[in-house]
Amino acid sequence: MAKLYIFGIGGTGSRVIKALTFLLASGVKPHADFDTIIPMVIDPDAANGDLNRTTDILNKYQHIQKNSNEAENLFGTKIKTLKELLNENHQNISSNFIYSLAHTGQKFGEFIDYNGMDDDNKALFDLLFSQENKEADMTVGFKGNPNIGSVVLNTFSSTNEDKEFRNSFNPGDAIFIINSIFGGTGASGFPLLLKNLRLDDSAVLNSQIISQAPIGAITYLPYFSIPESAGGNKDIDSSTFMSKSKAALSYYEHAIFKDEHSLNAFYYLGDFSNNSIPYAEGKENQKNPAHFLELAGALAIIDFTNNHCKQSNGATVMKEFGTLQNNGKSLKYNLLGSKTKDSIKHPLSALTLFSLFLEHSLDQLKVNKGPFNNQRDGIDNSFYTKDFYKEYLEKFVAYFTEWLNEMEKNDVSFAPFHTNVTHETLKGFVKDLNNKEGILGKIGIKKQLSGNNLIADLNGAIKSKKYDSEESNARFIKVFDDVIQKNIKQLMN
Amino acid sequence: MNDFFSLLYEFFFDYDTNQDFMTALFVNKDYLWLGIIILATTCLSLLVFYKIWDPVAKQTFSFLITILINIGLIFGIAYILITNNNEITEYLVNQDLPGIESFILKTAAVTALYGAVVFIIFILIPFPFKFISKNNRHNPF
Repeated sequence: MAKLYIFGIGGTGSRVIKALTFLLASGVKPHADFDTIIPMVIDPDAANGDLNRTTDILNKYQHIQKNSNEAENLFGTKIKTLKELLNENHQNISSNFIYSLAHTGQKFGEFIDYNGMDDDNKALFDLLFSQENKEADMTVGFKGNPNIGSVVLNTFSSTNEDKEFRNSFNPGDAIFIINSIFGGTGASGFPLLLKNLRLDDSAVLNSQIISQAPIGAITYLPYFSIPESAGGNKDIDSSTFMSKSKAALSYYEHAIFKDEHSLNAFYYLGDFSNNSIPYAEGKENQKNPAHFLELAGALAIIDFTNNHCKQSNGATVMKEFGTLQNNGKSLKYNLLGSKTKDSIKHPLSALTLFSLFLEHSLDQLKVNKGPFNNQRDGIDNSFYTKDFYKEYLEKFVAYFTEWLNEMEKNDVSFAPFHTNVTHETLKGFVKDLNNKEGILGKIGIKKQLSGNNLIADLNGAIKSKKYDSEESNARFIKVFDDVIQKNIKQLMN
Repeated sequence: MNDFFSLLYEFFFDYDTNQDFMTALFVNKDYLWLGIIILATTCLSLLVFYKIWDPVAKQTFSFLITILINIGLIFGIAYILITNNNEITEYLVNQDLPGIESFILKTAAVTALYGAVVFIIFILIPFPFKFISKNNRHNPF
């Protein structure tokens, strides 16, 4: 089976990988040829809030996936770090999905050794870079300066991660790159990374295989802004996003697309929206709220594995993403294109139902007198105090809920679910579904939408003895997977 | 079997005082029918509770409701059965012996009590009723 390597560059890269992780957790799968995803975040700002949140989510996903003994849908795809892939004790490789860049914890002038240059080189440097560039503190990234990034990120190929990435790459594997074009890290990192990947140099390990491998990429055009009130003497100014994008696209035109074989598929995503995010120059303050376009970007990765990994070196396929006219309203499933809807409607609803159940119905499940709570072949109540649940599953689900809430509050708002459900109305969580209680429900006898229906199905699944041989963590995930899928099919078909 | 079930009632009645009424039920094999009512109604109640209703919410409350309905049902059916005994009917009409009404009520009540006892015996063992349940295998314990 093949592997898909995903390079997420900068904050946008982190956020798209986060969205992809939630999609994989919900049961969205890449093409059947791919059984393992290896996300790698390239960001010089190691303390970046988005980066840390994403790596935490990835770590939790991994732990849950490993312990769920290959559940069919929920957490059904393997995510690995480079270190795990090689199954070796590499001391110098990051074990948490971060593609470490050397020497970025200093000022740009120090990185380039300005003081050690002779006068001619200093003059050239001063021509290309401003005094602010020279003094720029790279511990928070390149703060919207791709000219700095294009120098610093050229150290890709000298990292331990790059060597091990090349070492682990096999024929059939594919690569996907995520970047934004209107900032610093992503805009400069993408062409450099692509150039390195397409380099066929016999001195570089596996470069012949990698240079021929399918590569796809998303480039994000501006989709958020920074409020002018943040103004003053700020290094990042959203009024320059468009001009930066145009300049970068112009560069891509001759640096990337001149060679029609450099990319198999290229996805453009962007939005004229009114969402503005608080100004942050990086570190833990850069924690942008999730946006629907990041979910669309994650879907682009799935689309790439399904449609563009087999094609032989032809011209790059260019793709854009669109929705039906929403007239300023929230996006719901009915405003998505049919392909997008088909891809996410069932799985995303399934993970949402799972999270809503844990939030609103778990207390009822714990006191239920059915076999689900059996100590021997069910899930004992002590399960909920163990690390697997408390530290991993519960927190992962909390991240997922936070992600959905952030997408709902953002512009454009993606809000396909009701957030005000209770245990009694749990299954009425999808907007625009004809979720009416029958006559028996109205008089309180058989409530079709109640979480009790799921509890009954959970008891039924345990009673079936199908999961008796599973260890409790895997049993929990698999039983829920089974029951949630059944209920989602009933709701949506 | 009529003998066996009649024995169960003798604990609760003074034979000398109720001899005529008890004989009337015994001769008509009504004790056998009372036993059948206890077993059949209790089994039916348990089947309805554990298999058909099998509630997910308010499970202990639902169980108590079921046991009360079982008691009520058995009391009612037993009352109807006893009052349909011709001899008992005659005693009721003629009023030639005192205490016929209280005998009927007490016999129906004892039958209902045995119904409750049988109900509890059935739920002390997991098979067959708790076994067939999906949601109440551990209800009430």
